[in-house]
Amino acid sequence: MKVLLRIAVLLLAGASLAGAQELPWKMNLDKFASQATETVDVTLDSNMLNLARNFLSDKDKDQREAKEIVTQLKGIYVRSYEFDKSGVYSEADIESFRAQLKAPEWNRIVGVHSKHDGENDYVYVRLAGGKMTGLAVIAAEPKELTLVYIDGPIDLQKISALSGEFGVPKMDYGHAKVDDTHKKGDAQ
Amino acid sequence: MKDFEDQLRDALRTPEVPTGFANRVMAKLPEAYPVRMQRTAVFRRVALWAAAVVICVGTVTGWQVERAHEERARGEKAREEVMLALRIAGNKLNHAESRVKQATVDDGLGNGEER
Repeated sequence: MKVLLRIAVLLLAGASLAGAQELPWKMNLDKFASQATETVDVTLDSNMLNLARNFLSDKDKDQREAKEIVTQLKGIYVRSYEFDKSGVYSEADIESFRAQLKAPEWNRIVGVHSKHDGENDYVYVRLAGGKMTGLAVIAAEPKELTLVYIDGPIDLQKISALSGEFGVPKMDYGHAKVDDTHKKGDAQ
Repeated sequence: MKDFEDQLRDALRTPEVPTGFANRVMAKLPEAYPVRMQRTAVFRRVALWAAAVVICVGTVTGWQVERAHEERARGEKAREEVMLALRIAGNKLNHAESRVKQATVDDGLGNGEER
């Protein structure tokens, strides 16, 4: 009986750890969610991505591209919070997010910190064997905080192309540009 | 008058029942009625089974339809979430990239941005 109890405890502990490993940030985000006026909380593990892939249409251009992107992904996690006032998160929070994306596993390719408008944008990639195996984005504006983690091989250009509906101009994410930005990030 | 009385007496006289008549009638009864009763019983049994099968098939079909409906709803929700997540990711990537480009252009203006 004790053995069964121990196994159950271990399984529960394993399940909770697996849940905690969804995001690379081991941090309780509830304090942001509780103060947010709008929250986006997307958690898609490999099972959900497989399910979604079956429902993504080949006829629609965006969905076809999304289908190609998610085919090799293991997970997509997004937490986005909009606040009605600034100051909900602190610089220390941002630093905490950044500190958990450590080299050599994670490499920063974009890092913009603006004292002028209080915006912080950081893009990190995880490299393994010369291939991109993960993407993490920290985007912080005075009244908005967004964390994105994509687990799996990613084509930045394809993801970038999908944002067209937001009216943001599509950008060039050629490898040369990424490498160049990477060097800038490392210099920090 | 006498004849009339005799005739009336004859007419009202209880006829003599042949020996074993009652037994023969009782013996015939099970042959006349149980067939119908048996048919009714069989029909009832078949109807009960048919009703049970219909209920079972209906329940299973309903469960499968409900499950397919739920699976579809989950799939469509997952699809919407994938599209939303990728669009947010793309949006943030583009935003970061544009800020890098803008900061590069403004480098000489001292706008307080660090890269």
